[in-house]
Amino acid sequence: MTELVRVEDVSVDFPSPGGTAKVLDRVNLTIGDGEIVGLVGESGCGKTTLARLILGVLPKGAAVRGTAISFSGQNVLGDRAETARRQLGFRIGFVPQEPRAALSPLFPIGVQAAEILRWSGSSGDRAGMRRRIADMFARVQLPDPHAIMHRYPHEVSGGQLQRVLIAMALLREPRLVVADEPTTALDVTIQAQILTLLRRLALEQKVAVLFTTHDLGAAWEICDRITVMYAGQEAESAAVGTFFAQPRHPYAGLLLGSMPRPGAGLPESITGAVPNLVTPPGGCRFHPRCPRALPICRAERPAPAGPAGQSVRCHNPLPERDAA
Amino acid sequence: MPPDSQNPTLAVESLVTHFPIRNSFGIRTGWLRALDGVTLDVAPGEVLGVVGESGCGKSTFGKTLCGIHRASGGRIVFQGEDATHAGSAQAKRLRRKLQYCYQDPSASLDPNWTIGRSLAEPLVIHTRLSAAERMARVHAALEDVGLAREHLSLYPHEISGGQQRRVGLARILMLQPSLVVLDEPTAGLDLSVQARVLRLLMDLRERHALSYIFISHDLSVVRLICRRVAVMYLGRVVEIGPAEAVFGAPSHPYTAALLSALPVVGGERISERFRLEGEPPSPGRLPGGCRFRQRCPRAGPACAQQEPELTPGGEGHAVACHFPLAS
Repeated sequence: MTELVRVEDVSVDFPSPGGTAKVLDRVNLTIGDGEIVGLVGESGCGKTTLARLILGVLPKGAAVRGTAISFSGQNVLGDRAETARRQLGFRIGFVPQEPRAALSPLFPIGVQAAEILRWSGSSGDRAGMRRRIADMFARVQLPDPHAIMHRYPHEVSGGQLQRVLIAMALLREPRLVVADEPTTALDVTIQAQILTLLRRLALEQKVAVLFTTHDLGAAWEICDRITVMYAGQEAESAAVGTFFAQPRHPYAGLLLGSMPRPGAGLPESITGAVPNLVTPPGGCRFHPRCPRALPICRAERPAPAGPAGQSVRCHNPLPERDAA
Repeated sequence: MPPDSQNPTLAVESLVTHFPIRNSFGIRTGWLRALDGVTLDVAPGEVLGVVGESGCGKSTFGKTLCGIHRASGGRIVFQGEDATHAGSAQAKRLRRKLQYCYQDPSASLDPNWTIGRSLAEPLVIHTRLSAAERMARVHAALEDVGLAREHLSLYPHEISGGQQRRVGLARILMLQPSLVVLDEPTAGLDLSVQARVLRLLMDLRERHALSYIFISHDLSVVRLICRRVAVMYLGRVVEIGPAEAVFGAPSHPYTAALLSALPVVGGERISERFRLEGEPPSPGRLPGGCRFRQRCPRAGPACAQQEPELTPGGEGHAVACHFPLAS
């Protein structure tokens, strides 16, 4: 698989009333061409910041440092990041968490979808545009695509609106879609429909997806690979099957252990609380809560290691279990 | 039958809650049938799960039980006494023992009050305890939910979401209830915090001999902690029974669909097994007959003509369906 996105040793700081919050700390992430990568972790772990960094929509005041953020080998990190992005013409689609908040209540859905085509510089007559939108609406299985273009967002249900936003994200034929908790606001049966749709479209159109979620079950459903984050650092990245069967980072192991599973007893919780990002612990930020912490964990953040396809940043990873 | 069904803590009979739908002139144009004939009971010490998707009426059910919404019909019998009419003195007295725990603790705590004042308030309203006695109870409840006394002088925004849930629970405990309606007690919590809250809930139940009505959309959590489960769809209970039976061998096609939508880590992906099309209709415009029939893969002509009643099928398992799945 060729590499599409590479984030290398990137840190992001935000000014906050209590001091500078170190929201991302030397993070690495790769997304292969056509790969569906799940970015999982608990609130405040930096998954949304990382997604926004890749989208290029960090809020003002964010200080970004690091080696590279590259798309198909072209680095867009640095002073001229904005121009570099534009020159690239790299296309990234975005599916937000709250579909209703992402659309204007004042315009029909079709008008807002057409705007995306206009902004991305596609020329063409109105009829052509309308046809393209209706085609895309049909691909996301919206009933009666032509009628829905004339409706306002409040006239459409949450599940259907999320389909509209997936269609809008795919309209520009992107190479990457960033989906930020796209099913969190939806019911389980609708979530199942949307996840199925997202995975099918990504495979059909060969689009890579960066899917952030706190729902490990949803990540299992659609991802090829999982990267788990804790307090602004990535802890482990592995193929989805490996990750759920054999997590190697202690945090990944504990996170999986706190998941309710049928047949098991009450899930285990992780002792302690998430650290404050203004004064985070040094070294591996998980060390104060980690049952396997060594003295070195306090001083030094471990380099990524592990077998091919798996990257674990831990001085004392969980032992490899024999495949049963 | 569920244990001790002769002496249930709570017995609900054909409970109905309708809300008027008004047009922009304030004239009623119809009824939103949020709760449309729910019958069930809760045995002492039982944890009954109520599951369903948004709009199925599960929160309305909990709120009607606790007198937050007025019942439009039916009966609520709590500890052998009628608690249906919210205004009556009898209902008020009974409701001290029947508490409702809000979904969003940050929204149900007064931002201008310290945690200590919020906790003592129910005692001021419902009891004649002295200030010192109130304080003693507050301290005991705080200890029960695992919070330090220092929290008493803090304001809700100064503590974390998990701690706010604990305060919400401590407040419920103040009046020493016997039945607590927990409305989405784990929604919006991170996994590790959720695990802690679940442990706390089970621990409190044991120590205070509580019964819970556990309202949640999260089936994996309900499956873990509830002995009996009611599945609701558009204002009605479509299936109720022991958790193993409902989750292990669902009878109603809707329950089966809900379960197939649940991600199973390590199992088949939902894209390979999930089949339910469409979305629930609005509770303001319900179809005739069975409410699920338009989405149901097993629907037949009978489903359009008559709404199926909840029919017991043995071992406390009941289903409202003309063509239930064979177990």
